[in-house]
Amino acid sequence: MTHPATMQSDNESMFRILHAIFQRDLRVYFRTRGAWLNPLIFVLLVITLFTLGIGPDVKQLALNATAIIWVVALLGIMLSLDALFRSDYEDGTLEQLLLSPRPLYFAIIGKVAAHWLVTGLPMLLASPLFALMLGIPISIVPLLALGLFLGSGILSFIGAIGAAVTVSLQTGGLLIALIILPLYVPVIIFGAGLLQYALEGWSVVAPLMMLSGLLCAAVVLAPLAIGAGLKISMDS
Amino acid sequence: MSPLATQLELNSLYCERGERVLMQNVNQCLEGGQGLRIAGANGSGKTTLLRMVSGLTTDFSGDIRWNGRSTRDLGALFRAQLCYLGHAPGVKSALTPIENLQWWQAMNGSSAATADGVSVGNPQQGTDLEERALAVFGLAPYSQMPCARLSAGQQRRVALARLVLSQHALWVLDEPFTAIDQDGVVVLEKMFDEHLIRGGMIVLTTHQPLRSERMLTLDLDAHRTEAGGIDEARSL
Amino acid sequence: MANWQWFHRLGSPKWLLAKLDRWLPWLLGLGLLVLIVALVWGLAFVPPDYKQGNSFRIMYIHVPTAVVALAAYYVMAVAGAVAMIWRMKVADMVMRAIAPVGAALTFLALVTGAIWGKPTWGAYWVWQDARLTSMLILFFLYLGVMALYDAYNNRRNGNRAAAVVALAGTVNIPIIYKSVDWWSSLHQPASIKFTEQSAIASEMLQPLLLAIIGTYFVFAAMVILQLRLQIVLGEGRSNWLAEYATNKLR
Repeated sequence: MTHPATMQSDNESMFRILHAIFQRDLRVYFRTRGAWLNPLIFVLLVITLFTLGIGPDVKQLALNATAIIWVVALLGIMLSLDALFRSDYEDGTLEQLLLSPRPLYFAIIGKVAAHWLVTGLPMLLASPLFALMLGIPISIVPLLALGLFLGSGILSFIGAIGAAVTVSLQTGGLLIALIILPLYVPVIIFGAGLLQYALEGWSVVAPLMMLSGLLCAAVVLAPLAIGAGLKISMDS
Repeated sequence: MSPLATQLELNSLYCERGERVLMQNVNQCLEGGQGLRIAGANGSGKTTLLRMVSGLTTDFSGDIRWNGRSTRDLGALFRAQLCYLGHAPGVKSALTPIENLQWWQAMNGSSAATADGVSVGNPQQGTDLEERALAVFGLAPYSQMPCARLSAGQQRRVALARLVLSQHALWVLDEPFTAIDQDGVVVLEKMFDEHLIRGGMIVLTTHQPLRSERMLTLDLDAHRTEAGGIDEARSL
Repeated sequence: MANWQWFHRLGSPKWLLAKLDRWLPWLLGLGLLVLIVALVWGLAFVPPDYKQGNSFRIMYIHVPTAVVALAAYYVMAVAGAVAMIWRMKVADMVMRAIAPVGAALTFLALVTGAIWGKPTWGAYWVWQDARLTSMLILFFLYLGVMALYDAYNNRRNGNRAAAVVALAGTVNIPIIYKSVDWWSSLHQPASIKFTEQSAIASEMLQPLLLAIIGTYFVFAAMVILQLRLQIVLGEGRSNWLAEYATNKLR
C-alpha cells in the first residue's frame, strides 16, 4: 500500500505528470491528422476568401495583410480549442486527470503546451506561404513567424480557459468565441502591431517584449483558471 | 500492503438535484477489508454517490471522512489512495492499451513503479508491469493495437487492467461488470476478493450478484424522499 | 471570532434577504436624490465649456456610468473569487446580480459617448478614442459572462464558471486598456480625448463627483433588486422563503 509518506517528491511529481500528459497528447495528435492539419487548412482557406473579397490588387492586400493574418490565425486556434478537452471529457480521461494525486496545474500546462505545439508550429512553418499570398515582403517573414508562434501560445493558454468552462455544454463553439475573443484583444493589437512596425522599418522590440510578457503571464496564470473551470465542468 | 487500519465514513450525506431530494441521511462506515455495494433503482443517485466519494461532485452536504479526516481537506493525499473507474472507461482510443496504462501509471503510479525502472516515454523498456496487467484480462495479443480497433468490452478491460497495477487502498467502481463476459467476471471477482483480503476497500455499483461475504450493501432507495420542502437548517 | 460573525451571516441567504429589503428603499432614495441634485447642478448651473459649448454636459451621465461600469466588473470578479475560495452561496448570486446591471451601465456609457462624439468629432463613433474602445470591449466581456451562465442548466455551476471567466477578465482589463491605448497612439499620435485632467475646472468637477457618488448608490440599489431575484430563484423551494413571503404579505 502506498502511503502519502512514500509518495515522490513534489518536483519529480510535477514534471512527471507534465511530461506524461504532454507526450500522451502529442501521440494522440500525431495519430489523428486533422488535429494539426485542419487549423492550417482553415487559415489558408479564409485567407483565400479574404483575397477574393478584397480583390487581386497586391497593394490593397498588403495594406490589410497584418489584420487578416492575425484575425484568421486567432479564429483558427480558437476553433481548434473546442476539441481540446472535449474528447477527454467524453472518454473519461478528464476524470482520471482530475483524480490524480499529482498537481493538476502541471498536467494542464503539459496539455495546453502540446496543443500549442501542434497548432503554433504549423502556423510558424506556413508563414512564408501566408506572406506570399498576401504580398508581405519576404524580409519580414521571420518576424511574422516568431510573432505567430508567440501569439499562438498566448491564444492557446487563454482560449483553454474558455474550452474548460464550456466542455460540459452542448453549445461549445460559439460560446467559447463570446467568452474568449474579448480577452484576445491585446494579442491581436501587439501581434498586428509587430508586423506594422516591421513594415514601417521601426524597432520591433516593444511589441515583441509585450508578446513575450503576455505569453509568460498566460502560461503562469491561465492554468489556474483552466483547472478551476475543469473542476466545475466535471461537477454535476 | 501494510496492515494500517483504514476507514471510510459517510456522514449524513444529503444531496438534491433540480427540484428533488436525491438522497438524505446516508450514513455508512467502511473498514479496510470491507466492500460496499450501492444498490438502488435507476436514477436513485448511485453514480452521484460514487462521484461524491471520489470528490468529483461537490454539491452536497454532510461529510465524507477518510481515516477520520474530511476528504475535501485531504485533497491530493486522499486521491493518492483512490482508484476511480467511471461510466466512461477513461481510455484514449488513439493510443494502444500499453500506452494507456503508461500515462495512467505516470499520473497515479506509485514510487514502486519507478523503482522497477518503469519510465514513461520509453516504450522499449519497462513495459513488463503493463504487459502483465493486460495479460490478466486476456489482452496480451492486443497490447500494441490502437484501442479504437478494440471492442467496447475490450476497452473496458483495458480500464480494468489498471486495478492490477493499482496500489490504492480504495477502489471506487461504477458498474465494473458492464460489457464484461463470463471469464472477465470471474477474474474481476477474484481480484476484488484479493483486494479485500489485503485490507483494501471497494465501493461499487453493479447489478451482478456478488458472492463475497465481505460486501456490505447500501440501498439508496431507502434514502429517497418524495419531492418536498427542504428543511430550514439545510439552506443556511 | 466575533468580528467574523457578519461575514458568516452574509453567507446566509435568509439573513441577507431581510437586510436587503430594509436597505433597498434607502439606497434607491438616496441615490436618486444625489443624482438629481448633481444633474440639475451640472446641466443647468455649471457655465458652458469655452471649447465644447454645452455639449460637454453629457459628461455628467457618461463619466459616472463609465466609472461605475468598470468598478462593477471588479466587484463582480471579487464576488466570484469569494464564492470560489470560501464556497459562499451568496457570493455566486452577487456575481450574477451584478453582470446585467454592469452591462447596462456599460451600454449607457457607450451610447452617451457616441452622442457626445457627434458634436465633438463630427461622427458618432471614432475608434481613436482609447477609452471608448476599451468600454466597448468591457461590454463584450460582460456579455460573455452572461452568455456563459445562461448556457448552464445547473445554476450553481453556471455561476461558478462565470466567476472563473470574470476573474480572467479582471486580470486582462488593465492589459486591454494599455494595449488599446498603445494601439490608438500608433494609429493617430495626438489622440482626442473628451476630458483632460488638467483642463477640467473644479466648478465642473464638483457636480461630476456628486453624480458618480449618486450613480454608485443607484447601482447598488439595482444590484440589490437583481440579488433578491437571484435569492428567490436559488432558494425557491426552501421553507424559510415561503415563511418570509407570508410574513411580508401579512
